[in-house]
Amino acid sequence: MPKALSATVPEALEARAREIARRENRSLSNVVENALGVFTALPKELRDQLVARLSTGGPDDVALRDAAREMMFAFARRRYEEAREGLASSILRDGPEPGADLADLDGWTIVDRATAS
Amino acid sequence: MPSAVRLLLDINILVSDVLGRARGRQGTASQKLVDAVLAGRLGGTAIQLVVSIPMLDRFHDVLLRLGAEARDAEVARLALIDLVRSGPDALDPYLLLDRSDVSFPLADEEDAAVLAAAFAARADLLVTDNLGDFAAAGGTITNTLMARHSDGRARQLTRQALRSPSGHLLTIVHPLEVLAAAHLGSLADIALRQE
Repeated sequence: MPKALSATVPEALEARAREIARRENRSLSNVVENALGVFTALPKELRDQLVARLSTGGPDDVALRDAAREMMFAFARRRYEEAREGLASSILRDGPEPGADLADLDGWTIVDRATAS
Repeated sequence: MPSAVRLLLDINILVSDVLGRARGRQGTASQKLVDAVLAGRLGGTAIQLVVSIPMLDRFHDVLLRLGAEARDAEVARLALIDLVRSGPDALDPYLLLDRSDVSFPLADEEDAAVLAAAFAARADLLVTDNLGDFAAAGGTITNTLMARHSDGRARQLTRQALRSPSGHLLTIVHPLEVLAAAHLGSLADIALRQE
């Protein structure tokens, strides 16, 4: 059963949350629910570091943005690796033989450095 | 500090990586390159993947033709978009459509689009096995390495340096040469960095 919460937050934080809700076409309640869900899923050490960084540098802090980008990269990498495994098994199971150029690409090895022309 | 080397991978490399895995092969050139893209580094150098939406659509279509599950093909396509966006230079594949800077006379429209995407993203390296497809672009071509196929065929690999009308330099290079350069720590040299 969903529970209602009430919290007092700084005006700027409330404005940022409302802006995210507007931009992403979501309710403010949904934004707060997601924020709480993510925050409570993180390890305490990471939460503490994020809160400390936010309090000193604000939401536009360079280190905070770099960390966010690196986290996005890590998630994208994980998703690609998982998809790649699925692709390899489904192609092996069901796939036709590829064209000659695709089958050929990895058959080459370097044997010598030629004289530059 | 120098920025990341921007690397456009021909779609055939992504497909060959998957095919190699499907056949239980390990350590192929395609696999090494894709693994480097996923690590964000090649031979100790930070790299930014470059790929356009039309290239990703083609990747998706090729996977489906090879019998891949539609869901996996779509997740792979979307994950690659996010890898480009969250790379060190945070590029947006949706913005790599500008062809105004490119006027190279390639017969194949797809190859011309790949070249256009490379220049729109100010890529340093276009990595492809199909070096001959880009030979008509009119850049400076240099013989580099000799390669031999497992069936006995020999092949001269080349490297092509191309300059766009606005002056940006792009190197078109074979996957084996990129890996050899990365191994020697000279990736930035073949990338002809202008910084």
